[in-house]
Amino acid sequence: MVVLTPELERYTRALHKKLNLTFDILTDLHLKPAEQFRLVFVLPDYLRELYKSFGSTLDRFHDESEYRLPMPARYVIDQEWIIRASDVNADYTIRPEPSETIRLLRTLHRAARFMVKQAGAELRGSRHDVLMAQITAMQRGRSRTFPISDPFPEKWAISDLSVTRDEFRLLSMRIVSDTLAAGFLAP
Amino acid sequence: MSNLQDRLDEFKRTFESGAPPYHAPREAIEMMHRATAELKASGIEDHALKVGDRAPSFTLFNQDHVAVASADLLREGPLVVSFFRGHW
Repeated sequence: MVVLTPELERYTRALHKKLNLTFDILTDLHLKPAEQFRLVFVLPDYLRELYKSFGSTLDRFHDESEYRLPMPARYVIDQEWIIRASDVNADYTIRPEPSETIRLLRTLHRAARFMVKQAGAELRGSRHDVLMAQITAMQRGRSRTFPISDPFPEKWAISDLSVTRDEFRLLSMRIVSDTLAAGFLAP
Repeated sequence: MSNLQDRLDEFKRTFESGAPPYHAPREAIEMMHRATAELKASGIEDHALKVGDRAPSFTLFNQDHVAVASADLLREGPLVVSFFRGHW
């Protein structure tokens, strides 16, 4: 868990101490990752003047003379770098519930443990049997098709045992996390 | 403990009532509402990265000036990345 803000380190240091946080606040100076996540907007002139009148000057806090800000956002990213949950709101007074994020994290952790268990089973049985059993179990649990976009499906859907153990582990992780996350995220 | 949004709504009600300690003027609140409505109408939310997209990597300094890389955090498990504007 990390929190990104365009604020300078002298302010994040004070905030971190004040709130006694157990996770890091990272300074996204000049909004580089915020731009990559496409969250950045420019404050309109009238709001800029208003904030200045409150003493909230972004040049001081952010070294940001262009008065850009990120929309508030919360992302959950799995170990394959895929975004599993995203909450972005242009209205900064609305924030996602932490309990929802924690629920998804638990799901992803369970998926990771399942993946390790399956990788162990794979060593004892034939790869194909384990894969097919896993796919059947997944399909029984969820009627969805697997949103997997990689070159492996043709390989494992038929009795082709040429996948390596590392590929298998990667694949199991994707199947399980995609399926569970899809189930979790759908209302 | 009540949920986060309830507490935020409570704060917003107090702030927008113009009561102490904030004494927010009516015109200021209207400007804030206008800016939020305009931003929402711009469609910017639809362009943000979303579920299924690949997350960009980053390395940034934490509050103690230690460089933190998302790649290192992801090796330990799934990662929550939260963006906020600042303490002000």
